Amino acid sequence: MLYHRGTGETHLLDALTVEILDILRSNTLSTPTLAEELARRCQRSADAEWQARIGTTLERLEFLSLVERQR
Amino acid sequence: MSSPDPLLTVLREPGRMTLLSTAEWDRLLRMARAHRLLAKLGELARGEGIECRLPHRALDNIRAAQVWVDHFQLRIRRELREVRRAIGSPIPLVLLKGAAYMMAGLPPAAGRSFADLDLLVRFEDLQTVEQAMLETGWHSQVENEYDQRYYRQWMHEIPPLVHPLRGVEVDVHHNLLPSVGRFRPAAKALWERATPLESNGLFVLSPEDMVLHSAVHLVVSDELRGGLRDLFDIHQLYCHFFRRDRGFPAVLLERARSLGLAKPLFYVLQASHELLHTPYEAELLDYRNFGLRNPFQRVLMCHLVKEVLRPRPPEAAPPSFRRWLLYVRSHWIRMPPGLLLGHLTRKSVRRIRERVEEKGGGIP
Amino acid sequence: MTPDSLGEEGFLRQVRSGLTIRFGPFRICLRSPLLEAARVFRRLYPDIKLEKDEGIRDFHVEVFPPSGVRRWWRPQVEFRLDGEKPFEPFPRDHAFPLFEWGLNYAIATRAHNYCLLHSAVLEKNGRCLILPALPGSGKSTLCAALMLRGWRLFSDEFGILQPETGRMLPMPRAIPLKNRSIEVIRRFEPGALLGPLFPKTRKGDVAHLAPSRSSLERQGEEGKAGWIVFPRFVPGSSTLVSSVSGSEAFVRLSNNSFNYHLLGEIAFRALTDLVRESECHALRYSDLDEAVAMFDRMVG
Repeated sequence: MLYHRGTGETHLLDALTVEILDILRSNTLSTPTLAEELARRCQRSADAEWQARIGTTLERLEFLSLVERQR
Repeated sequence: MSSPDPLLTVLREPGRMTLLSTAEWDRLLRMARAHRLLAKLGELARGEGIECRLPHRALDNIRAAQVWVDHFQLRIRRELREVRRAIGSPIPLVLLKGAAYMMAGLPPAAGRSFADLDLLVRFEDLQTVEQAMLETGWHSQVENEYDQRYYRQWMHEIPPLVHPLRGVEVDVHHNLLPSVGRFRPAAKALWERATPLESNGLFVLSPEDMVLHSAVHLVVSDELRGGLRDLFDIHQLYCHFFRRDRGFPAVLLERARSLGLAKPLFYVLQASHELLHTPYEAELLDYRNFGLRNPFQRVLMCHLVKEVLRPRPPEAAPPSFRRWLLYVRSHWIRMPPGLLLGHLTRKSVRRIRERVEEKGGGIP
Repeated sequence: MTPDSLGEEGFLRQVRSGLTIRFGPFRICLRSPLLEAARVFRRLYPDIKLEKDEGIRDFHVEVFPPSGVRRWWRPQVEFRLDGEKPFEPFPRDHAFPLFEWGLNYAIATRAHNYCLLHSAVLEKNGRCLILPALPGSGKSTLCAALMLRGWRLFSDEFGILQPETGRMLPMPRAIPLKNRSIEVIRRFEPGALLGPLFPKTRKGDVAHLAPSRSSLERQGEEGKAGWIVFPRFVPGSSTLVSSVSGSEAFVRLSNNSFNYHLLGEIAFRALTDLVRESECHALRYSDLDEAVAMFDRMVG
């Protein structure tokens, strides 16, 4: 469970999303770098499917205003 | 004139909250709630360091109201972020009223509830801003074609926009008052003095324009309900700006004259002086400085504005005739008389129709 | 002083001029000239302690016939909260249910110093049983049955959670039984003290069950978290208990709260603590006696 102070909304997150937010809390990373770091933590390869999955999750997090895309 | 009214008493001197009997508290809480000033009482008490000396039951009620205020401030903050994101940074925005007080950290923001986000944009940016917001999911709240036309043609703002997921009303203005009214401050002049905030591209009005806007809004607005809250904004703003700069009264007066807003400012300063005992400098209380040549109009308007703003106990009926007079007046100020007649009758017809079509009230 | 000890005449007079009562953490001033509503109140709350009609009241409630012509051709009644009228008028006969609903509305829209769950709450041995109100849960019937079997009634409608302490606060009131559940409770406990039947209200037929005497007497005693049970009434099913994960309980509780979104972080913290300290279950039942027995076993 996560309460987000900026939006006042509560989210029920899966483990992967929690990892993403944990990493992004202190860093700004590109999607590929983030995907690699996550793959390392989950002990799997950062293949195209994985990259796509991380990309979709990030889009969803952006929609929820939990992460911001840097322009 | 002395008044036994507990709400005015504590707004003038918050320290007196510690002297009230529980019967007076009972009245005070009801009146403060009706005037949207309940959470403000808590902030005033905190400012005096007397929060812990208030009756428990009063504090419970005040805290409940503060929860509401915090929630709305959070929503407005977030909405502002979303607007910024939607329109991109090169377009400057001036925050108005509640949002301005909040983002600039001014005293009226504490304990103040506001449901709408009011923004001022340059006229040439208006279309870009509206387009960008409509494309990012905001919807126009006005579908009726007459109302759309009314806004576009005569008003100083576009029809309110609301994002359906968040429900906050965003009012995008290009001026402080309608384009056709008696009082027409030049928007350009406001931009010249606007103060930038730390955040990129965000501005608030200069101190004198902020007070002027609030004052004019109070006199011209057709929604006089809860006007005491807005009057207290002016009281707090003035005290704050005067503490920072002893020259503020002169700047305010000069600005009111040059923008043609001296009259409404005078009425409001009088009302806040009499009701809230705002300690204005003598030059701000002398009608000769405001170009009010018609003594009858001056006395009548000062009386009307003050009496409409005077808080009423919850059981008392609103002063409807006075309100109606001011309602008509507020439109008369904003529109040429011929247009006004058409507008009022259409509005009344629609209101009656809505009342007839209205379904029964909901019960939880 | 209680409605009973005042006598009917004295009590009606008091309601007309202003009656101050305490329901849980709230002090309420009720004023009404309507004899029938006051009589029903007296029947359902004979032993509630009346307070001095002064000091701070959280809610000033008036149940009055509306002024104007309309009352001559169809008797009506209006609910006023501090001078505001949140609802359309009701038929005059429904003045008492209107008072009860109106007061619920007042609490749900104002008492944001508490985290307000939409749940029935009962207590045993200092621990609270929370029954969230979900469609088809039959929580009012279940709540009435548990109270009639000795559980202390906190509320049929509000789980009042105090965020600073994590304690639940009682607010025992009459339980509005609807439609078939009126007959079910009559059969379950023939001695139950029920008010008159109000036919065809906006929620169907309604009759109120009086809160038990001990619940009212002990309405100042708070309770700790105990159990969160999501009941579901399934005709013909046996009594079945299954466990529910904390996160699911949290989501269902917060979605079912009156002011979760308003309180934000305060509610998030209070509710996560509440769920952490509670045992969370789902219950399927059809037989009321069996369900009550199951709850008693749960307490141990």
